[in-house]
Amino acid sequence: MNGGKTLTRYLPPIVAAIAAAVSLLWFWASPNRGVRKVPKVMGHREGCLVCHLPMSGFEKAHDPNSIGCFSCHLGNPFTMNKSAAHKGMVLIPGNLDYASRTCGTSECHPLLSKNINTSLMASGRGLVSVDRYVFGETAFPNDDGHLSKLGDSPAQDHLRKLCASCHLAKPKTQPAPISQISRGGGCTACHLSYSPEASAALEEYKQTRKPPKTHPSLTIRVTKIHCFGCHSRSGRISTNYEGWHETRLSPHDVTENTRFRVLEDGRVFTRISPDIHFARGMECIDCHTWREAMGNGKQYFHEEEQVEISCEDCHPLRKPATLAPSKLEGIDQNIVKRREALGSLSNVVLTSKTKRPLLNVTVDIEGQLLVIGKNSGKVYHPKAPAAVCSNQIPGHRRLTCQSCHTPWAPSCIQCHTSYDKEGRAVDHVTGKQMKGRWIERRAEMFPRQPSLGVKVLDGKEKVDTFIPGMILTIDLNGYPDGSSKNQGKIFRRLYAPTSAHTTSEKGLECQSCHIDGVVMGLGEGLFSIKQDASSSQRVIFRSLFAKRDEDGLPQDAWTGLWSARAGMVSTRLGARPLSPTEQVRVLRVGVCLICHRADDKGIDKIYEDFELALGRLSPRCRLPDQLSVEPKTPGK
Amino acid sequence: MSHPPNESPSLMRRFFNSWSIILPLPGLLSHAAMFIVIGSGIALALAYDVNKPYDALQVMILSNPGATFIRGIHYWSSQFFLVLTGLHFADQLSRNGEREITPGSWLQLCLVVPTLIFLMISGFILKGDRSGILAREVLDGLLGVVPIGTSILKFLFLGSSHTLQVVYLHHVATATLVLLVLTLRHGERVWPEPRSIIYVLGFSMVLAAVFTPGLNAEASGVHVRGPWYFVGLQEILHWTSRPIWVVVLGMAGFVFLFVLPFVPKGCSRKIKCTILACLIVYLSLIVIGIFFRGTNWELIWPLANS
Repeated sequence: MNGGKTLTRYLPPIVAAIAAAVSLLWFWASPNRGVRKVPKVMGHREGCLVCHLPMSGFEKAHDPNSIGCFSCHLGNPFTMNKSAAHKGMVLIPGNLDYASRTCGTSECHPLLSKNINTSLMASGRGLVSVDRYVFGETAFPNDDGHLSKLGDSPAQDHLRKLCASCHLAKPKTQPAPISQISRGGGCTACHLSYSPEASAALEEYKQTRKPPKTHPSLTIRVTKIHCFGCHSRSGRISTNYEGWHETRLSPHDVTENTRFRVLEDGRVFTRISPDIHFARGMECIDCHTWREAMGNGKQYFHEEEQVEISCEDCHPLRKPATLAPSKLEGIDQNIVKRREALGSLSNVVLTSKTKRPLLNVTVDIEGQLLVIGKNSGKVYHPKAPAAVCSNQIPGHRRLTCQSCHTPWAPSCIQCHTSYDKEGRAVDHVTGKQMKGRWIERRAEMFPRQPSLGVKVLDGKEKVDTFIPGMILTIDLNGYPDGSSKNQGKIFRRLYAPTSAHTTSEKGLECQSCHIDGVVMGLGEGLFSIKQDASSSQRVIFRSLFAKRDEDGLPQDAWTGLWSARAGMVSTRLGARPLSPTEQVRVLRVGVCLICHRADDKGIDKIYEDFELALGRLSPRCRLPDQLSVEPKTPGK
Repeated sequence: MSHPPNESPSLMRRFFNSWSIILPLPGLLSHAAMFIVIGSGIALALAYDVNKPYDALQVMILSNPGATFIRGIHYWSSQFFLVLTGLHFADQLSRNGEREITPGSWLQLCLVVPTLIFLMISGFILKGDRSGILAREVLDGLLGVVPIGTSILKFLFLGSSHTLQVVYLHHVATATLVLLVLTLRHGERVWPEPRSIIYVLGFSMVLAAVFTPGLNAEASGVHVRGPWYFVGLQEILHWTSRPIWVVVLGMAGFVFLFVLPFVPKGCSRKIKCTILACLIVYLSLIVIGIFFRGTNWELIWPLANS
């Protein structure tokens, strides 16, 4: 018994003493204990730099000699033990899940990392609410929604499996150069730029696992390549801008031919006219501001609310408001410092919509407005608006610039969406393969002039460009939700406002709007004037496409001639096709244009007081009956 | 045995009876831990620079393994000291030990609690990192709600906000001396029992080698927690908009502890149960604070941040 007591008494301290000795030896034997000098950055030492310097590829602001590795990649800078140092590290610091701890710390970009969460590019708020509206899940297209926080209703499942990869809040999981198929990655989606050396270093790392010595740069030189991946889809503004129109061809159908372009995702595009700004060499960020892309802290529903620039900012009718660079604050001031090309400007123009600075637009001493390429430093001399724009010809006051300067936009007139419960698809929110998939079958897209419709902007009605956003049927019969509201077929005929990014230098001809079925929202077809038995004349419109059983309108139409559509007609609240009254107004000019061309000598006089001119019609001219009465409302 | 012969021992007494079979009593271990903390602290002071504490500790961790190891021992033995002192109190209170000493001695022992807490927190503040700075701010805020002599209290305990000189002075000298005076008088011995030293030092060394105490490197403070024993307080401060209640409750706890020997046994038992219940609640708050709080102290599921 005494032996047992002795054992109980002495064994534990002996074990403790041995364990202590072993741990002491183990501690001393741990790696990299021979380090004597550790670099200091951002007010602290960083063990990371002992192993990872030298590292090239950075611009000055993000040089690890200045900000270290930890500022972006986290981990533990206070250890020389590799696994301990890498614990808690983030591979893609720009991902918005942790951007507040990386890019957005108080020393770096706190405002941007906060604002970005309100940006539509991060949330896709409008996209979610419109999709739910179309599926009949919400009463309005203005609702809350976030592509990272989707539920499991049919519309949200539809978004999960087809759309939710295109937003900044989608985490990027593996380092890779930005390409046409890149998606998400928060800050890095736009601000990461791989040089050939950085790409080669990444490839070498993948094969050898040897730490790379060249890093991709973090830059404010955002190029069109960064925007292209996401913006070549849906409205396809990136491809439109460069003058490419999507076809239904497959890569095998096209040979090496400059008429066609095959994207990395296999889609084949054909060449149409590019946007004049692209033709002149301008990039996306030469027009768009950081506040539009990264948010200004306010929550918007749709893109047109978030966009703060307008054509008038660079093509003003009056002298624009300017600001001295010394009065710039915060991020604006930092950007000017970072961009060499903008450092010497004597003033910057303010946006007409929000009165915020356009850092690359200035007025020189001769009063000439100049636009400086943010990346290129190239100086552009925007043309003043044509006389026809500044004279504000009667009846055109509500028209936006792009109503006359958008020669084409991709228009898809038929889409059928159904659910295949046996299929499988990637859920873009979780990144996992899930059961059930959505099948979209669409018709050929036409590169045609957009329709004109009316939308409400800042409380005012504006005539703007629209495309058939959704002329579609949704077949929910396969969806595994037993509730009756999720069954059956849905038919929608909604047009969506578009900013097609196909701007033409010259405005469109008068007749291209005033007697064109597509522009008037009637669809492809031909107008004719027919005289009936009672010798009265009538305007007839023969549509090219057959009428749909669901609503009796031609396949591609937004509305019918002389008919008013109301209710669910657009993806925006308050937006609508031209009313019968407005159709009459348009066609009264249109029928004149058949004989009297817009460029005829002295024709302007007719339109200075059009009503007066109509009262003086010669016997040879006669208005069709439907157009002979001056419409009272609405619109001027 | 303090309980009547025909009454079965309480759960706590049974716990400490079992404890004593394999380990020295908590009081002996705590005594040993205190000496190890002081000894390792003296050694650590050689590598510490109060004028640039954060940098001194970074250099130490990254390039001075000896000092890092000693810092680890200092850290872990102090944690043992805190826990073992608590257990020693529980052990003594469960056997009504507070009634076996003079009121003056009991008051001294009660004063050990705030002194020890101050020593622990001041040690945490001396790290000089983001979490240390925040801990100092919290302490500053709590002293700020005391209605009288606020600025004097702040100056006495924390000194100027630009330097940790006063905090350092209290940590290595004033508070340590006070603790030694308060504790050594009531014990039977000055020097700790060798077996207890081996236990505490042994475990501290193992933990120092395996779990080297680090530093908080985050600059923004969105992901910063105080020391584990401080997290419950952070949780309370998160809920209340009146931090004065924290000070009032702390002082009430001290008063309740102090009056234990002077009230009838039945009442004393109720007070002890109340203190125990409060401790359990506080420990629960610590668990919530550590495992269920993420960035900006938002509620999260455990491991959600990982």
